[in-house]
Amino acid sequence: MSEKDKKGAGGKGVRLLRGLASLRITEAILLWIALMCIAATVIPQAPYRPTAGVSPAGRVMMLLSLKDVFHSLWFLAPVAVLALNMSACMWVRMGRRGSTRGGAMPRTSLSEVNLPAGSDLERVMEGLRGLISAGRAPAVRDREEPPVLMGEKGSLRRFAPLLVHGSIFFILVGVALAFTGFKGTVEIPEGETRDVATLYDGTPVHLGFALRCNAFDIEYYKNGMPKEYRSRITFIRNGRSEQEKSVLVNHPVSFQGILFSQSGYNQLAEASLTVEGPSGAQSLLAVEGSMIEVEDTPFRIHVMRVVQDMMRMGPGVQLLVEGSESRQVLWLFRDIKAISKRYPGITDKVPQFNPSLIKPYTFVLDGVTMRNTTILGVNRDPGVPFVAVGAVLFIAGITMIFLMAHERVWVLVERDRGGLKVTLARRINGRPVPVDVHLVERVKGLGGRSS
Amino acid sequence: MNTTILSAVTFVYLASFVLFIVSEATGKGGWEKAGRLVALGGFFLHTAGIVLRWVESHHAGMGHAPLSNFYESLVFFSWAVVFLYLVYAWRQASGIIGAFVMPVAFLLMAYASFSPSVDSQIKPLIPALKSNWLIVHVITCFLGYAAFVLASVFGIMTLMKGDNPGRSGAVAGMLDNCLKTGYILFTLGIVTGSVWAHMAWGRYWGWDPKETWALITWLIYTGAIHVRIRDGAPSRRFVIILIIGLAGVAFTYFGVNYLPGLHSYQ
Repeated sequence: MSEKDKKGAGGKGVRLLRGLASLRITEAILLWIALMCIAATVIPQAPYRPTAGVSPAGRVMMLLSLKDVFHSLWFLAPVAVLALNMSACMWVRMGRRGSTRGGAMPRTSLSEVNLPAGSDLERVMEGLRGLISAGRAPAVRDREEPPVLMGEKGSLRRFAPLLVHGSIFFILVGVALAFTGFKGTVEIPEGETRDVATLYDGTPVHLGFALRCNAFDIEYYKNGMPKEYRSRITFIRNGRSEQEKSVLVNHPVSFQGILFSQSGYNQLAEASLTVEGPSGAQSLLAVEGSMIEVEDTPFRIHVMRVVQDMMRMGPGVQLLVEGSESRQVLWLFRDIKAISKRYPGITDKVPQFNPSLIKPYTFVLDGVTMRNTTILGVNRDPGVPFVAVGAVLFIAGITMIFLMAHERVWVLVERDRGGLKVTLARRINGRPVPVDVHLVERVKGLGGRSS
Repeated sequence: MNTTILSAVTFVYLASFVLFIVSEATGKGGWEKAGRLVALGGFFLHTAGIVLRWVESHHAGMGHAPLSNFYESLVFFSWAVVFLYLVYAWRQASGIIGAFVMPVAFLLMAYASFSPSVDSQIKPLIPALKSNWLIVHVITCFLGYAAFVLASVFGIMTLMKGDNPGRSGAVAGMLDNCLKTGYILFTLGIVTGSVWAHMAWGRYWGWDPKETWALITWLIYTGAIHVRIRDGAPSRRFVIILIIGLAGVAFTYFGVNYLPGLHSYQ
């Protein structure tokens, strides 16, 4: 392939490839991607929109929307073009650089040294071999006629651009694989078990195993700032506890390819209630926001608010009791007897405060307890190893490009008017550059010694 | 105590700047040498101030590297600028380089020390910041930023006419070195930041405004390197890209604080 490029003619395919490999395209695409990134920080973004039930036309609109730039055509298409541009560039430019073509002695920046008549060709060649291999390992390559010597060092450097641009493909593959994973959270109250995570777009996902939050602790500094959050989690599969781990901020835990990180916490107020009716008393646990069906009664209870201390009247809970025909809001207080003593007749003035408002039942609030719930980030991203390898290769590659030099020195020896003509040439990183003055001086010395 | 020393450093850098200006105006080498020595003295004092702040945080029972809030980042940024100036330009007896670099160091220190909106107290670390990756991330990013500042200074100098060819060759060399150093360090900063994000938030990249702007800045410098390779020598448009890159650095560092995100300084 590189032979074809060299000739410069090539078919349509080669011309297209060369056009695609243009650095101008690279610059234009980098600029466009940068502009899209700016747009994403200026226009408010709404990623993670649910796609279920969206029509094909709607999906196209989503793909064109700037409300989610990084999943839009405006961003993904130029990234794809950049990938094509880099592939073409690696094929055309770096393929050429990596091949032996750059091994030819350059025709510019030459230095000539004329050694006087009588100089011994063999001795001069030996001396030149010594000079060229000094510091330029592994050594010297003899060519056919006329004899050309070449010494090189840092030859690995010529593969560095390939390494750098190839590493971007690792990263892009990793990023593409991320689309097969998911991102979400799971909120688990202390002592409870959950096996479903909620993705950022609201979709529930069954994890295939369960997590129990044995405890959630917060440590504080003396000034009251939080110092550490720690969730003690048991991973349960097929009903068996398999692993017990602590998840801390900056110390995530991986289980079955899913990464769990400490993301936040909540405090859950939980009320214990008793409903006394004609058929006896029932105890209930009421968590804020939940809905409870009470057995042997005609109603459902929506738990609106659970408060540890309601306006200095002690623990309170606001319920919406929904019967078959009526709805009634109730405020229950644990200390309703003491409140009635302090404010006589309050249950008549504010009927919502009357625990026996819905006849023939009486609602009693036994107490309110606060329970910690941990919020864990749940991430599955099979692309991470690819991105990591890509990042390491990229850094290795740019370090090689910036800190290493691929240097080659050529020496051509020809007989000239009874003496010897030594032509020296040098390339650094493929570009012809003038030969080091000290080397030229030492080559002159070779002739002097032999004559 | 550390803040007193660091405030004093501000004036040392100002003095060094004035000496460099005088040296350029008078063309006398003595002023330039004095400017460099004062800058070196300020750098040692600056380093001592940072070390002392670290020690003091340990005595206060919080023990963390002084790289965790806006004040500490400004102080470190300024330190990195002077450090790289000394590394790259110490041997260059040219007052004009110092006259460009020292005001950057001075303004960063002045903003850190005297702006009422910058809190210089040592505070304990919130759990998210308790990570060794934080230290590596901040050091690499700010050394990278500082190298980009110097690259822009040298870039502007290559455009200035009337320079002698020897000096402009040296400036082009220093420009290349700064760009290379900045690019490697800034890339390392992004990578170490990704590792930290993976640990703290479970994902290595989240398009947070700071992350996005770091990518924008990285893209600009990636473009600059390609233009530099294509042009073969520091060209006018290359220098313009460097200056745009520096604006990217400034926005990544300061501007993003005005956008909502996880990286906003407190």
